[in-house]
Amino acid sequence: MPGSRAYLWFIGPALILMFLILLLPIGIAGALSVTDYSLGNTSANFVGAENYERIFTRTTYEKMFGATFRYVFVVVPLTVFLGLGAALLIHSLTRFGDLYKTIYFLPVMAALIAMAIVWEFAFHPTIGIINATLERGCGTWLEAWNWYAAGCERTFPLWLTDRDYAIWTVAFIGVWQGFGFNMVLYLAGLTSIPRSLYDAAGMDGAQSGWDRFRLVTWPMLGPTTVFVVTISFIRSFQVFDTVEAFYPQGGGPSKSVYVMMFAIYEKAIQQNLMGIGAAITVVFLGFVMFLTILQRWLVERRTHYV
Amino acid sequence: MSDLTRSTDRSYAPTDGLVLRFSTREAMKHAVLILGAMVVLLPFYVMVSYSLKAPAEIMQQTGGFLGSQEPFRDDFCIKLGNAVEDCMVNPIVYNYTTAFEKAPLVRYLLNGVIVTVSIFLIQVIVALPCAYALAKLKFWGREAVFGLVLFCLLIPVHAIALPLYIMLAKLGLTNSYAALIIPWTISVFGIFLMRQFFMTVPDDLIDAARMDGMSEYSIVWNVMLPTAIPALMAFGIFSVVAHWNDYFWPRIVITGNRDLFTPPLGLREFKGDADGDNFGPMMATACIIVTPLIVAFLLAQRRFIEGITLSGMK
Amino acid sequence: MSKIVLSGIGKSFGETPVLRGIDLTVEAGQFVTLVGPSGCGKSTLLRILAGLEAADTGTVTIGDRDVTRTRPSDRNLAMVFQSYALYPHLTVAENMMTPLKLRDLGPAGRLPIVGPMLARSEYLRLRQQVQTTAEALRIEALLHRKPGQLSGGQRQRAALGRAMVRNPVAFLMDEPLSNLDAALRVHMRAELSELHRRLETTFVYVTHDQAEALTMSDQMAVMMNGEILQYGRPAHVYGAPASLEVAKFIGSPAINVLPGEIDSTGGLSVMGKLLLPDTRLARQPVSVGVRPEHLTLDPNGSFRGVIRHRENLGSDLFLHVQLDGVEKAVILRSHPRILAGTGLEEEVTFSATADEVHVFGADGLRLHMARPSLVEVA
Repeated sequence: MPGSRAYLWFIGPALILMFLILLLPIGIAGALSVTDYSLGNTSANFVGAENYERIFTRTTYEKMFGATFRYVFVVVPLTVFLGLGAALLIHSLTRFGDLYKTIYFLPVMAALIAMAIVWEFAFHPTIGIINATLERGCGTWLEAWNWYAAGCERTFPLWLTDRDYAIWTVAFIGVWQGFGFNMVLYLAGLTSIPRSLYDAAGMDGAQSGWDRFRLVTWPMLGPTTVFVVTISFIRSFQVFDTVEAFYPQGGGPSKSVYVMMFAIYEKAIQQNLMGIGAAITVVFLGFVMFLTILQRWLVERRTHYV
Repeated sequence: MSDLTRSTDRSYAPTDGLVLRFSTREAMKHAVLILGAMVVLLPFYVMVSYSLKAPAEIMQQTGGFLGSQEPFRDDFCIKLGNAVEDCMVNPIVYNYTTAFEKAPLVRYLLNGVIVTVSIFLIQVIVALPCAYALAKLKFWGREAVFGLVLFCLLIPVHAIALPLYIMLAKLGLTNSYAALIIPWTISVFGIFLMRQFFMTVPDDLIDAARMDGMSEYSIVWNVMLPTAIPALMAFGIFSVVAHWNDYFWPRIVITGNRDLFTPPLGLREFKGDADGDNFGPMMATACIIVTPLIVAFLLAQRRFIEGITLSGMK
Repeated sequence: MSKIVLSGIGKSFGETPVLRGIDLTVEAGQFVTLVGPSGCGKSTLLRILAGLEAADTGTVTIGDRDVTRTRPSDRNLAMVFQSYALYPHLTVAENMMTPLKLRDLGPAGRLPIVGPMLARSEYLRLRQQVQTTAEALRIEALLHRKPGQLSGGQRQRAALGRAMVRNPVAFLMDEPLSNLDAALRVHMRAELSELHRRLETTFVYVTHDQAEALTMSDQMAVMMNGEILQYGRPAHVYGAPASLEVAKFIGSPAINVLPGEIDSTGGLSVMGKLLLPDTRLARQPVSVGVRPEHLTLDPNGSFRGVIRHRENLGSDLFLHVQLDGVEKAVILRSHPRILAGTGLEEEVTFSATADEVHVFGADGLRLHMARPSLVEVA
């Protein structure tokens, strides 16, 4: 209706909240990142780029980047790859497809903190089911594998309390929790591929599953893949639940699991160093925004209309 | 990859391939998937199993899945000075009653419900009219507002947790329901989703409503809302799951008042207290927290998965 | 050039039988149409011929080869799909190269980047083939575009190009014109016919549009409910339909069906009026089919009715006339010049060309009358 001002009421609350809850905080984070503010202080002192300097030089933060990137660059490829594989397998089944779909999606539904605690038990060096099962394999042909034999002799790794294994174990849990989500997204992508393309490929001579995958499936999954990868990146950058549950203080054995979100939590909330917490937040936001924009651009390029 | 799907629509069935090859291929696929399923279900198995067992069984890894269910001696009860015979308890009963007693689990569950429902309701109230305006109303600045929405989609709320916390602390709102709910009231994702959906509603429907004399406000709630039910349900599921399971934000914002703990916080607190041999009750708590969503998921699978894919593909 | 023989083809989807014992022979170089309403099984039959579906019973023979168990790509057939099914991420040229690459290049040649270098001369030869085919279809200017950038008609030609480039034994077409608008459709009908004449290859064409079938085919098969009701030249199917169903499906506007009977002397009467005195048929109730163009307004005509509706197409005038005792109006073809004389609700009389009526028995099948008819020409 021309002239009606109703729209103001409609977009008003949303705009106000967007500003207050999403945009203003970014500004505040930016502002705080160049101060040494602590909650409870009456004022904040300007310290220039000191916080950023710390982030990019001190070893603690080196470990932070190391842990974060190790986590992200293990979890993302694995969740995408496993999600795609599971989707392809399930999509091609004649029966029980729904059952597998449900099972693989359960980890996504379950509260991560709860499952993390369970995994912690499972990975417990002495009373956990993982090591217990590994022990049972001692004395069998599995000992031909060096690592296994060493484990039988001494003990199997301590997993979450082990400096060499902690980050990979946490990453494993991340993969366990996340690939079901990607699987569902890929399944949706697969069902939207028109059958007639596969028929045409068949007529053209694409005989093996690999031929059909390369000619039809993978190209048509382009936008889905870009979306899946971006979502996986963002989710894995934001990992926190598992890390805080396992290592409430310190970020793991010799800080090997000191991921970014935990660093923010530790510095800002636990240690009340808002300035540096804000600086880490800004760097984090930078990564995420960059990735998302990259995704948008790639999707534009790669969407093929049938 | 779909060689031999016998779906109800046209199947692609190459004429080569003996029946034997068909079943071997399927069998291999099932083998791989079953192996994967075992890994996926492992923690669920452990969680349920331990919640049914006595401490000794947990430590020693005995008792199969259900545990032998023999009554065991509750040492804590003995410490309180009771006789031994009065302190023999059945594992399941012990685990689950301790779970509810040691911490006000019912209270936590209630908090979970209050928080997720409030968040969802407010999200709808804020997002729906905005989406309608963006989709169907013409006004100056519409493109700019939509551009703003798109920009805000880039901002992961967890990332700005810190400044939000400071703002709430300054307002004295930490340790309150408000703190748990407010940051989530604006769901740009919800606005985006609803807008895309509303774009597919024919303009004629709205014009007919206007001809009938409906105000714009009335149109939003009486015309758009009913047509958006599927998208709303999908969004609702997405929102409820995300906020029921959310651990990070409540952890930051609820620092002292146990009465406000959401289920994940409750579980965490349990763990913090745990003195090494309370695994049973802790697993029972985990079961209780995880079960509602899993049951809901099993009952409404289609909707859940639709929700995730709707959010993804749009 | 090879003859295609489908023999005893049967197919069911679950409990529902879709094809019931189909026998069809397509001579080399012919344009054969499978025509019928939706759900009659024509697309399924085409897909069985292509190898995309497996028949439950029956055999498919191309030339002297039994190809019933052969893969689609090994049958040397090419298919044009209703939705064209062009690979959206490839250019038109690459789309047309795909069947050639898959057929003629080994795994080394098919590698993404190094392939063209390893099999250079092969690649050039295939490129040339694509170029020649594109020129034949006049789409050489479109070779570097992707399907998303083409119009409907251009996509259709690109799909044709992909089929042609392989020099197949036969072209299979599954309703290729149904996604085009009306004007373009008429144009493409002529183009496809011309293409067929030029290439002299067998065309097997599926459509639900009887006009396409009548205008384009050398032979047409009318299918309903999984069976072929009649197979023959279009003129024959139109002029001597084998059953009431075929008569009603072919021809637009639809044939008029009136109740009639053969009396004890073999005389055919319709609505009480004697039409043909000596048909040599047994006494029985019959259905009589008369096409609109075989009914004429006649002041001395024996049929009387009231005009309910007129359709003036400019070139023809169709009158819908209500007869007493017949529920459905009879359609009569006339000429717009008499428009002035025929108003709504006016009573008119008309007669039928006796030689051109079709008589069907109680079972719907054609009854052959002893009187020689001008229409019984093969």
